[in-house]
Amino acid sequence: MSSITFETTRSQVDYFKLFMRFLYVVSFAFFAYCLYDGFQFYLTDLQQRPHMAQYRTLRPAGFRGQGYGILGTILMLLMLSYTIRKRTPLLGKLGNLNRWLDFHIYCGIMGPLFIILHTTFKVNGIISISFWSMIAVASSGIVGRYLYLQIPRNRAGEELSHKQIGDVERRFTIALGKRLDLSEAEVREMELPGLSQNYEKRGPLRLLLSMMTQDLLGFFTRRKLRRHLAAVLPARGDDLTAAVEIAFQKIKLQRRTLFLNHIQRLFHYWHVFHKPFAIIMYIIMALHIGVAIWLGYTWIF
Amino acid sequence: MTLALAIPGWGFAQLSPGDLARPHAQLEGLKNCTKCHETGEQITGKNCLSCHTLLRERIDAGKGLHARPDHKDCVRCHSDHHGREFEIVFWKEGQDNFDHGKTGYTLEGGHLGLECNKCHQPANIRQPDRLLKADKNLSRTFLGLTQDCLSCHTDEHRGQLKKDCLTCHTYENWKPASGFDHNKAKFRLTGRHVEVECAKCHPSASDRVIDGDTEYTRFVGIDFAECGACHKDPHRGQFGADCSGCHQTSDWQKMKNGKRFDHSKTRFPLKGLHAGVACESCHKPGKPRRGLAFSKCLDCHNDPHRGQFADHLSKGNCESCHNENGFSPSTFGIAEHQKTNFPLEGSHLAIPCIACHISNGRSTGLQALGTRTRIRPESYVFDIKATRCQDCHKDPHDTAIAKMVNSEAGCLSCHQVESWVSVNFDHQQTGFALEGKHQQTPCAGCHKEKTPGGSVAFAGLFPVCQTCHEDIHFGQFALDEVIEGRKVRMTPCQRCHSPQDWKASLFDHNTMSTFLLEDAHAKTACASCHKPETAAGKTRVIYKPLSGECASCHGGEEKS
Repeated sequence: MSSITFETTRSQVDYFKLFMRFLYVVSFAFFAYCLYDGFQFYLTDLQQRPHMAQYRTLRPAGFRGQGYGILGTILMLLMLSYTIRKRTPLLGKLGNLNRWLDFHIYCGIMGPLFIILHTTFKVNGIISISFWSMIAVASSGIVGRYLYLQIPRNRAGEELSHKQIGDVERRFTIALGKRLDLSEAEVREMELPGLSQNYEKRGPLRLLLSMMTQDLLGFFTRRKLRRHLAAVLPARGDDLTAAVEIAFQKIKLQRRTLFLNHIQRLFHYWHVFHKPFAIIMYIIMALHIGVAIWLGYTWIF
Repeated sequence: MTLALAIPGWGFAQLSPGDLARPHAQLEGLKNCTKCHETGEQITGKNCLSCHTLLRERIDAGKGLHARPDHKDCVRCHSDHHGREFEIVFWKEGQDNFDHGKTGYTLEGGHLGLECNKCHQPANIRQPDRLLKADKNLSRTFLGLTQDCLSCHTDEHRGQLKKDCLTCHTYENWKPASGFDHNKAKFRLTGRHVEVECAKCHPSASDRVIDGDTEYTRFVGIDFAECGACHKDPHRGQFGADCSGCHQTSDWQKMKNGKRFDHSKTRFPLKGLHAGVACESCHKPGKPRRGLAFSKCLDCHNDPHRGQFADHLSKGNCESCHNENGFSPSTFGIAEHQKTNFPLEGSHLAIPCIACHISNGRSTGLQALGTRTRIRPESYVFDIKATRCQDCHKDPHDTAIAKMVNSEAGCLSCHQVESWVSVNFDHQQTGFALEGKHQQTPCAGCHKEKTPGGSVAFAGLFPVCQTCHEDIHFGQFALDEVIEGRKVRMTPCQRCHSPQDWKASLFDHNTMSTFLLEDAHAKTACASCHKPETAAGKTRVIYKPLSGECASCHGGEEKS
């Protein structure tokens, strides 16, 4: 799922994004290795696992198992840095909020994954509440991220005003006209496919599904656009390809603009859902860690 | 309010990562956590052993699997919180493949392959009360057994021997007790004892101590101080109870230290040839020595005389005629023979016994004399009832004089026992008295062998001179006579000759011829008239018939 930031100036090399990609690659590779290495163990029936050689190290209290838990916990705790940055003045205006969110999302993805390895896919008792809360938080985080992306923002992650949205839309129109050798007015009169749906009459969930469907079908939308422009205009080659991409972005922006109000309302509801689960998760996690430390499960410490 | 109180309680209860296994189910609950977990120490096993006291005792004693250094961490093998049905005791290689050696008791031999419950069963647990008190299920626990064989096995020996069965037996087999070394027992096995089956000395006994096994072997309490405890004394105490003084265990018949047995200690001292006889000749190998009869020679020897002396005064006792120095020569000499009903006289004194005492033919014994023919003792005949000469001697006269031979005097009618050839016969009995030259003539001069080497003609000789003498007159004086009822033509020599000599001393020419000798004739030599004449190669003197004419002698008259 592609995300588009709407900057008025051409962006520089984004080292943070490269760093985050590196983190993702390394983290996923490490997770994949850990999962692969313990795959047989994790597939084994719970009552048979204690009899496996890997049990000693992969069990939740084992060296690796507990290490996964500690790593996951650290990541889960680091997630809070975004909240601190966003909600408190502790970090001042340090860094771009959007980048804190990216890191928050990274921690929200990798943390649960290592916690899952820590649990060895076995959750019982009260810790299961924390676990499922974590799953709920992480899952809702994905949805939240999607909703977040549906609201047009600038590079800093700040929401665009209606005027700013209009300016962006106009730049798309002009750019498309240049590629198609059409005037701005001619471009505006063009009837592009993908905007014919009546989103206004749909409920929040149906609207969300429709948006996700549209995004998922973006490939087909691009092909439809290409056939359409190729049929009515003489542009070919790179101009046609660029024109298709600009037209696609323009349609997407138009669509988001259309149900911006709905998205903002859903995003508000999402916060109501996302935060309580996060709180429950942290409380029970703290209880779980406390009991573990009390009973002497301090890993290498 | 209630909810506020309940949620934390529920929450703490849910801190458990999973249900405890059934044996630990009573430990469920937050307040029981520290009954297993130690604060700040995880699970060290200390709390485990606070409940598992039987194991703690064994660990403290350094016994069993859990006393091993690599098995002291209880939770390493027995983790929990895996559900109620989780088997805390896990057999990594399967229960049947458990390395029992880790318990300090390695399964070997016959123990290999046994199912666990063959040994680990309530019946084999020595102190079940202790286990029951520790809330152990006797049917499931592996505790309670000892490494003593008798922990599972019954004592076949009924306490006779030490309880360390492996001293003698092996794990592989109960029999044979290959580890048993009889030399370590009070009675060391030597010689032939090594080969003897145990049961020969160790008898079986019976009791009802063990169900279904009433028979057992006695190993202790067996008197072995003296050989007689197991062996019967064939000497019936003659030589005392210490058999080893003479015998050795390697061979009953071989005397100790290679010495020969002093048979003189017995009631049958070995004398003469007996001293050189091999023991086995009388004491047959493999046969018991006891009861060996020796009072009679025949107890060992065969009777070569086949019982001929059974009715004898000696009652068949060999020593009447023989002694230990040899069967032959016999001690029965001439003096003894003289006491028999056939005292030896004359030539009989000089001939060997075999000449008469042999069974197969009268002459065989005599014929064997001077040859190398060996006469078997069995061929001797001693029970000779007859005493007549012909019982032994063959009648050389071939029944010609059977009347004499069969007479009461028998051969002695003519012969003497001193010499066969010394004949003392009155020839007059024959009706032909020997006179003159006949008395000097040997018997064979008249009594010639009928055939060369055959019998001699004694009887049946015709009583005329020509039977023995040749008629040199060629029948000039022959007459027809009837003698003994037979008409024969014979020359009556006795008319002219006498037995004294051949001279015709009885002839009288004047009376017995037809020609008188007178004058000159009386002085004339006979040959002047009776001239010899040869005819057909034979020369004879012509006595008759001569002519009485002068001219028949004097030829001159014819001239005139």
